[in-house]
Amino acid sequence: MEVVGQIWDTILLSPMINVLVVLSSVLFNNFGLTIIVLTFIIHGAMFPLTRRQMRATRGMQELQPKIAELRKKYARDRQKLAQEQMALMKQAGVSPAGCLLPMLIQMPIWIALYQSIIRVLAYAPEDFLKLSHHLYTPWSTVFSQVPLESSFLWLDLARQDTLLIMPILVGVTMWMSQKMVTPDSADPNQQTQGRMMLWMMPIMFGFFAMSFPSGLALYWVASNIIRIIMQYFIGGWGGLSTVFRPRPAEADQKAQKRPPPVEKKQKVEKAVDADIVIPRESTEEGTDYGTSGDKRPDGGRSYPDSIDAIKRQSRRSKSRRRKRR
Amino acid sequence: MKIRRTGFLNGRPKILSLVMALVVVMLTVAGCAGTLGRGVALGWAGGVVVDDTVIVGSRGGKIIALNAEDGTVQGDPAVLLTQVPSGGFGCAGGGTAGVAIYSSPIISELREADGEQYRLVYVGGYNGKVYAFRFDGNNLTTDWEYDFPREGGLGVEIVGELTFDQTGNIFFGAADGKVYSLNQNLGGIWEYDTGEKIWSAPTIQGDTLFIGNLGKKLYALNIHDGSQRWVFETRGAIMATPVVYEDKVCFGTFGRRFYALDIATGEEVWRFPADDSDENKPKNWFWAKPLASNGTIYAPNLDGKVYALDAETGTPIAEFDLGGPISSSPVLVDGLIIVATENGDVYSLDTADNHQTLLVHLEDVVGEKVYEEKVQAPLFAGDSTVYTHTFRDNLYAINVQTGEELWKKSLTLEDGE
Repeated sequence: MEVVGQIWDTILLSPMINVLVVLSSVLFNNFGLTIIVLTFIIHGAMFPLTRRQMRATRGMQELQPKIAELRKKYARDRQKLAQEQMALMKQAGVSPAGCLLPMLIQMPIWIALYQSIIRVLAYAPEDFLKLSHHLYTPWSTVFSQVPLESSFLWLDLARQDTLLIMPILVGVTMWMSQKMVTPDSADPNQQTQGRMMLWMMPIMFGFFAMSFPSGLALYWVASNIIRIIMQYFIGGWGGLSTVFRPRPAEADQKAQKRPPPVEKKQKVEKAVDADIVIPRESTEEGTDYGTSGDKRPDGGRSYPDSIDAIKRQSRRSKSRRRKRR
Repeated sequence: MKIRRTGFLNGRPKILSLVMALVVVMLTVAGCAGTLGRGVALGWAGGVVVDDTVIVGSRGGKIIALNAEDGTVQGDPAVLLTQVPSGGFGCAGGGTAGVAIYSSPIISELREADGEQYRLVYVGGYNGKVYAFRFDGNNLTTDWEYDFPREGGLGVEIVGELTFDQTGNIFFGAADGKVYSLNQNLGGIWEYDTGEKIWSAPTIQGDTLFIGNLGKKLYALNIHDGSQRWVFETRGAIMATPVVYEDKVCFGTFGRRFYALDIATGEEVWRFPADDSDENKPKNWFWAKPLASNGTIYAPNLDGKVYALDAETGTPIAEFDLGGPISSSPVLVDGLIIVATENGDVYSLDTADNHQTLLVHLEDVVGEKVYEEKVQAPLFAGDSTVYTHTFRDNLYAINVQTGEELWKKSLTLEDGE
């Protein structure tokens, strides 16, 4: 166990601590700025993995309706279900490992960064003394640089934010980040689980931020903002775009008041008896959004890609409206 | 019987129950995170020997009086308690807990009141409060006689030791960057703000007080009114308590340099290493207090070495490689410098011929298990004996000539004493 600890310290923790201290000396001894810049650097270095993970997650989300169908179809034959699921994922070019592996690779780096911040802030004398064992002997700067300046804006980065601004920011940014990747599932079970996850994580981390040094809260806020930016460029606003849009029922009422555009209505009526309107641009020749919907303005979440899908979606929205009534 | 899927759980009771359980566990952890996130401060106080009694601060916030001959506890310990903020969510926080003590107890001259003679034992707590307990020669009173400040604490921790001047007034630095001067009844006399955290102890020579802060500065203050005489800026934070030798004040820094300054003017007399390109320069922080003896300054370093420097010129005379980081301040007994490392080794360095001897390797034997000891608390001595308070909260009495372990006492007092 001790050997594992030594390997961990040598490969991850010590390099991270030394980089943090050197970076602080470059950034005008401003530790708050150092945390933000280091978070950017690490996220930048991990970007290829993060992008892969986000795309794989998105691919898995898009397959969920089909997987749900398979579950229904092979409810009594688990082996067949597994085979069909694997075949479906293989066909779509996604795998659960694609979602998990990049995240697993990133985990140690996040943990080491977290530990580094804790050590460098050196709240207790014992922690501060331990810090000396991590500093690189040839780097003179790191020895004379510590302890780092812990005040940043209104915060003492070594202590909790008593104004509770950071815990709120942690919760809000994490919720936004989660909301962007939480799919609107037709499956009520999945909806419930999605909602749980959407609220559970931000609340939990908000509480963490109330108890931990605000330096860590700053790291979480910076991480969340970076993740939001990356998610936006990879998949658009995702679920966040629905937050400021009227609900479907309100949208339907508004749509009824307005005379429907003749051309679009004709097209839809020809295709299927449904109340889904396909925007004209998306059906134009030469417009190819691919299957992932990456380039679509809404991330491709709300546009069905086949007649069967349109029928299914139509049935679901009718059913939802009946329930609401 | 068919179970109807309804309501909140929606047919997925197992998954949602697990999720809810996870939420509860995580919130509990978050509630307790005040301790986890900040790191744990346990203390590493040394002690003081008076007559036949050893008075030491434990890692559980107790001030304990022990018989110097055999280590038996005299009377009840005085316990420093502090209010712990509630962790919430079922966390074990809230209530009271022992105060971490880093500042070793110090003891006053004899006083007399109502025909009774006694001394006062002063100690600074990590809760930002200074306490004075009455000691009648055998027992400590369990309730303090005086405290400072009277209401609450300073709001910041006290890590460095307290120091007396010749009149019995008390001086110390705190993490708010201030140096405080108190009278014997712990009434405030003056305070001086250095602007940066102070974790080291002051040293007094004549009417001048020397103290370093983590803001890389060493201050010389007038002990009567706290006015600044001079200030010297270094390249690293100062944790080590300075030592005065003849007309020089000597101290080491985190910048891996050791300085000697003129006590009157604050001008640099010499520094070690004189040249930064010196290959034999110290490899880590100067943390522990140095010692001066026979025209030599002994400067312990966290790189595991004690550097013996000529007090006049700063030229290295000898180098003792003790093999483990030295964070515990050494002590001079019978012409021997006793040094302990974080590896649990206790060495004696002979100041006459600069020869090092391993006195003892400390191990805590509990039943069949053997635990390595770690020494971070400052050593203290009396009558050819050195006392070592270890990380496992044991106090060892060791003969400085033979290295024999005279007695060992667990300061957790779990044996009912």
